[in-house]
Amino acid sequence: MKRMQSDIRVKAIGFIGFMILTFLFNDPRFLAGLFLIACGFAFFGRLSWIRFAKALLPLWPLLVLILIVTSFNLSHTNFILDSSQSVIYSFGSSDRWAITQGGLSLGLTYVIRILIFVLSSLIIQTSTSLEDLFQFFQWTKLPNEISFLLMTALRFIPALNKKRLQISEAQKARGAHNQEDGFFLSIRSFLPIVIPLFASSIQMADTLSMSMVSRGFGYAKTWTPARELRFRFRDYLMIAMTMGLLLMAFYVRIVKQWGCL
Amino acid sequence: MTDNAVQIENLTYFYPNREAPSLSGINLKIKQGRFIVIMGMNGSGKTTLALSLNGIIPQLLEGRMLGKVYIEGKDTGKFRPQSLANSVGLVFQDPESQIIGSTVAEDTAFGPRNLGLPPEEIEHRVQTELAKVQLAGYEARKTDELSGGEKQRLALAGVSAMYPKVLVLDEPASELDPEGRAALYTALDELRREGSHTIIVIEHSIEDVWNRADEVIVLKDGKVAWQGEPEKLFRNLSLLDQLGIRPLPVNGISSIGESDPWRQPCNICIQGMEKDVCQEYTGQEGDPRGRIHIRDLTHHYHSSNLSLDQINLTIHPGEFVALIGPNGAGKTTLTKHLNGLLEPIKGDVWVSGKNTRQYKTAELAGTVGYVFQNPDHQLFETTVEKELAFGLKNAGKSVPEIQNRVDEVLGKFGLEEYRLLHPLTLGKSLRQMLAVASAIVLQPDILVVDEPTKGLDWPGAKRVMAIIRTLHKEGTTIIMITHDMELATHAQRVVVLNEGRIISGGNADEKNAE
Repeated sequence: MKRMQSDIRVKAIGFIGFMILTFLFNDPRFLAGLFLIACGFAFFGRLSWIRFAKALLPLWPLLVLILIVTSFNLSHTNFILDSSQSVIYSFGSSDRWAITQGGLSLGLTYVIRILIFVLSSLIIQTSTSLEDLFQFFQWTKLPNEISFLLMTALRFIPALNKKRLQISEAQKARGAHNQEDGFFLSIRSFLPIVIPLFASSIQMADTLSMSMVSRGFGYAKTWTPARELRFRFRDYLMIAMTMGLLLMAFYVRIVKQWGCL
Repeated sequence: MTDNAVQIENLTYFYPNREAPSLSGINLKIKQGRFIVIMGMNGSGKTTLALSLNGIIPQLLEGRMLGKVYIEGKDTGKFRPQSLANSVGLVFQDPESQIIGSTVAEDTAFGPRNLGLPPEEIEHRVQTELAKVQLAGYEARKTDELSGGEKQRLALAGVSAMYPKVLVLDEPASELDPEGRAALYTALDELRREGSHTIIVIEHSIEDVWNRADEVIVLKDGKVAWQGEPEKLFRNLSLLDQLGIRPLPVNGISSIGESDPWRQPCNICIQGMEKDVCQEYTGQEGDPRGRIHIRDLTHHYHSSNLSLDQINLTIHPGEFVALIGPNGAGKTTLTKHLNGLLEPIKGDVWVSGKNTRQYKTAELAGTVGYVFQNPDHQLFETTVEKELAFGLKNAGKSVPEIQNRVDEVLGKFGLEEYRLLHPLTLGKSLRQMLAVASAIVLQPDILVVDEPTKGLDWPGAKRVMAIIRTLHKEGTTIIMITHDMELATHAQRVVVLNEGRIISGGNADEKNAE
């Protein structure tokens, strides 16, 4: 993904602002609007949609479950609006097992909220270099060692994942079954992967620490930053827009009572 | 002391909880600007010596060190490794574990930034050092998208950007294909041309270094066993054998083991890869056990271009095939289709008469044994015998049957004395043997071995190849992936892959059909 050139601090403020907005409203139409805005950011940032789809793949059973449970589980008395209290479909004569419009809408809201979380996180993740993240940690006055620890951990996630796949393939080739029935059997079936992965990780961490020290890590208390964090005009503009959007959203939600169910 | 880049006085080192020293009474003087090659068998102390050159021993690793090491006159026992970073740089074997930045420029700048250099100086160093290792223009490239050879050259640039006077490289080319090796050594030549670097390379293989080295130092059991000009060493075959060092190949044909009537070295094919003169195997039709039949196999990964492009290949029962080609040619992708680790996007693969689409990998484990490059990826049990029993348990064999098979395989591989030891306490060649044994214990018709001698010393490589040849003689079909052209001469047929296609060594009938 093409790096969005905004300051990391602006991205962080924008991200937090967007999260507040997603929790402010319950109406799925509002959430759908926010989702479209997030899609716009993803489009201009050239996020890979395949990557987004891959991130959602393991979540879809959860999303379906949320939608079903929420649709059924909420009584019509939970909703303020009359339209939300209306029953769409009822199993049996009573309203005990009924799908209300409000329940279905709330289920959709939860689902879209998760989609927004995933998409926003991916936008931030793919548009921010580890160096920017490091600068951000430094800006928050996190100790150097912890900042570097976090950055290195993030940097090595793909390498460890590659190792995990290699180990998993090696064990499958020996006839290992990755999934077994039963809790304890299931845990046991992961041992052939976890143990070599653990050994490889320790070995990798060992080499990494020796390599870092060999390249002067810890030579002095400070190091040369790759670039100084500096607000530019468009960063101020982005912050102003985020603040404006938040104020407007609070007004619409609290004063006008829009966006609730 | 001043004209010596490195001076080692009576160096002895004990790792924690070890009674025997890993280095014992080492005395060395290396003059500035020299190119030194350190050789020796696995466990001879080469890496320990490298770590003691930049102060990681004794500053970072626990253990007991006696004697002195001076780099450019600085006592490594009195300076932190960070403070020695612009005197001595160390490049490790595994490029994955030493790249810290997420982009090429970020990683190259890591060392100079630690030194607190001004940004303009850092930028200058990044540009010049990347140019020296042929990575100019790669600055913004993500490090996890680089090839193995590019990663290792980046690791070299990251170290040389600190302008160390002494460069130490610990088996820098062991993960690379011949093209990657050549590029790495060209980069080293470029650094050497400046004349200011003293270069110390630890190597198992001599092909790339024998005509570059000013001096060869051979370690054995932690001691300097031989030291002198490379020519004197490589002309003396009995000395090489005594020191456990692989001799220089003669016309691309190896001297591993004795000659066999079945061996048909494809030397022209191996040397030039230009003509398809590899021997065509004429196996007997009939029993499908051990036969591999691949028809129109096509595969591509989500993230990349076509990995395999309509591969057609038949491998006959009991045949020994070497699969060679550059990194990314599709060798591993092809073999992963043999045991169902990958499913064909198009086409079919049959092994011993079974279409791999219809079986899970675990179900094919008894038909196709697969030994990966790194034996440590599969070793997890607490003893050697349990490791061997793992596959048999997965296959649902009875306890007496498991016991019999384990005993039989332990005997065959000469691993009886290690049966109760933890696998990870064994040496590298024994771990590789154990990995092969744990595949063979399931009595597969076909054995795939991926770079079986990588990282092994000469005696270890001979030992592993001897067992592979024994298995072949007993009728197992062998598919061996290798970058080692010498090793490929052991096969009856060499199949050359490039960019997902077979360019040499395929079956004549398929070629005619094309």
